[in-house]
Amino acid sequence: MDTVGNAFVGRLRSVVEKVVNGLKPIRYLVNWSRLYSLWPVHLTTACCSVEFGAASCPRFDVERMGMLPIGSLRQCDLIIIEGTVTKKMAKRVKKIYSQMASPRYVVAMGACSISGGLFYNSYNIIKSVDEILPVDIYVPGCPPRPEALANGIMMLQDKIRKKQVNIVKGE
Amino acid sequence: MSPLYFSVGPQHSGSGHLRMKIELQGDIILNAEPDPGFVHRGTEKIAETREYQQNVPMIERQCLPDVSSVSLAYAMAIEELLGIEIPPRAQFIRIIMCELSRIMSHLYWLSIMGIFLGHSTMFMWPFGDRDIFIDIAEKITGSRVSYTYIVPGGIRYDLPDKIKEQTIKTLDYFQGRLKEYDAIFLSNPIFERRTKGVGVLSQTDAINLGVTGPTLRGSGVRGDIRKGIPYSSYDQLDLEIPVFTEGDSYARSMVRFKEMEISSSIIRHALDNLPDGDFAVKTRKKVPEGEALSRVEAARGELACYIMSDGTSKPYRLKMSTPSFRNLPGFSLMKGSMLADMPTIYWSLDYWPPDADR
Amino acid sequence: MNEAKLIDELRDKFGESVGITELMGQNEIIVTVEKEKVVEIAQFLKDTYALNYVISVSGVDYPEENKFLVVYHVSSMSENGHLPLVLALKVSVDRQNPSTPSLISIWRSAEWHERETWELFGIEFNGHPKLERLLLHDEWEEENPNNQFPLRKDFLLED
Repeated sequence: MDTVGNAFVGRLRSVVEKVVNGLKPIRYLVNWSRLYSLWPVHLTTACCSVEFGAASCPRFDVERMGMLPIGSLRQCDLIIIEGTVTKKMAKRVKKIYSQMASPRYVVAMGACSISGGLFYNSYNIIKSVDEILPVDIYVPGCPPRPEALANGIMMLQDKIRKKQVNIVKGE
Repeated sequence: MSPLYFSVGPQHSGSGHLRMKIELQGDIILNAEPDPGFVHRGTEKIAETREYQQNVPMIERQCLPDVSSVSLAYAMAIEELLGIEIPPRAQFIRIIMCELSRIMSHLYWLSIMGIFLGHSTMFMWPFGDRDIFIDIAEKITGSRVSYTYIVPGGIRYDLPDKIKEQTIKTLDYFQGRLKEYDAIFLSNPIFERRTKGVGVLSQTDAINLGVTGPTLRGSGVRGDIRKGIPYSSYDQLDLEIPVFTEGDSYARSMVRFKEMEISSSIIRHALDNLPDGDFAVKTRKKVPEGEALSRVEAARGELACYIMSDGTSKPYRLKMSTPSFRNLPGFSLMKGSMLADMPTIYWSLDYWPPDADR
Repeated sequence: MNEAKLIDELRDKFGESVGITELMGQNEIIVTVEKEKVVEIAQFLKDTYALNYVISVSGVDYPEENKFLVVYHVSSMSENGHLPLVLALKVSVDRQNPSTPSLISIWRSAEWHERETWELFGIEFNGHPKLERLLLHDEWEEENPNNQFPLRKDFLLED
């Protein structure tokens, strides 16, 4: 199911985009509201999910950056692929991504989602999650430390801060 | 009224990718069938293309919350084929690492139980305490969760200085925490209402279905390999086996809780009586022809590692019979229970998908 | 528990169906049997020696000898815990037409293990109620039309 939606009539969309991008304070405000409330999907793919859970725990606490795993996919804007994506799971990951409303971002966490990792010559995996999703940030490691994941999220926040605001479908 | 067929997962607000095909009539589950395989990475086939030493990191990643037991099973099978004896100091240190992993795995289990039951404090506190144990493991092995410390032949390095003081300090702190957990989480009337009488497994069914670990011990069977068929140096240490007879989710949870206390006392005992000596022996690359089966008690249950060797430096066949896969018949407990009890039964079995799918 | 006694009894009762036997160290026996009599032998082992707990079922591929081996590891479990004996029951299966009777009627705990062995090796277990796809995805057969069973020795991984 695609999230096709256009709440603007006629040429109103392009007018709104020009105004928002032209006026720096408004663009800054829109981006600010997005990057400080990145809610990830509750996806525990494989072993890296242990460190993703540890990142939410009291010592590392990524919730101070706004990350709160939430149950409903429609309210999420971040999908963190932690671990190996097998062929059986790849179809479902694409479906999950398509159910998220835009703007949505993808972080590939761990060596397995970047290049196959230790299981590079397996008969049942997708070598890189690049093949099925547009990835924004790569966090290497096997598994990456929670601090590395927090650093990756901060890099994503920098990327969003500088972005043009696009009110397009399926961004 | 015709039944409703739907599937839960593979993405769900819990831990791991498992799909369950559920047949529902009103509020009662008529049939719940698990559909595993979403994390099947083909470890057994890949292991045949790499040498025994090269397989150690890959074998451990089957069950990352509880790494030491998996690598111990693999190492023991190879040592049986090579016909070598491990020095006593290495045996004791291996036991200390296994019991630390057991505590860490049960703390992970407790925190994810908080997510399944909707109790956010039950998620935060055990995860926070797990980090203190990870600090000890990091000091010993250099890594937070994937140690590659127990290898065929012994262990990779000796214990660092002052680790005994740090461990005893952690265990003293943990003792106080366990009392708090009991008071706040486990003796909680809501937790008891949600888990008592839910998903009852009888003693005969537990043996016939072949379940292992706390699922078995929660149904009145005193089955623990550490006591029944002691391996490594477990015969030299005092060990109690917690057994509960009710067979419901509460009994399984209490087994895991008590095991955390018992593991703490085993670590203390092992540290007090740590023998001196070498921490490893030399091994050979080429393993003689033959076969070996090793069985260890991991946190989730009994893990068996079967290796067939053809005389070269790569295994001919490696089969890991993992506890989560053996607990799959336990999903039939959902039959006849309410839909709202499904998360409780699911997580009381402590099913970890990478462990089951390999 | 006298392991030698168990082997003698098996040979007395089942004669030539019992092939090679080995005593591996303490408390471990290996018995190779013919598939025609495997159900009766398994029933005898469960009734007389209380071997009621399946540890694992593995398939092993021997392409040069043109056979598969299905290895059942069983042990004994009672209310008081484990008994130390482990028996490895090996059944030899022809590689061109691999099929063997399922032991699910005797050991219910073998159900999921046999299903996995069928999926990864292609060995048919006659009498198993549900030999369906378990670990691999639905399009596996279309992607690998000539070589469907990954754990066989002729299925090669890319480097």
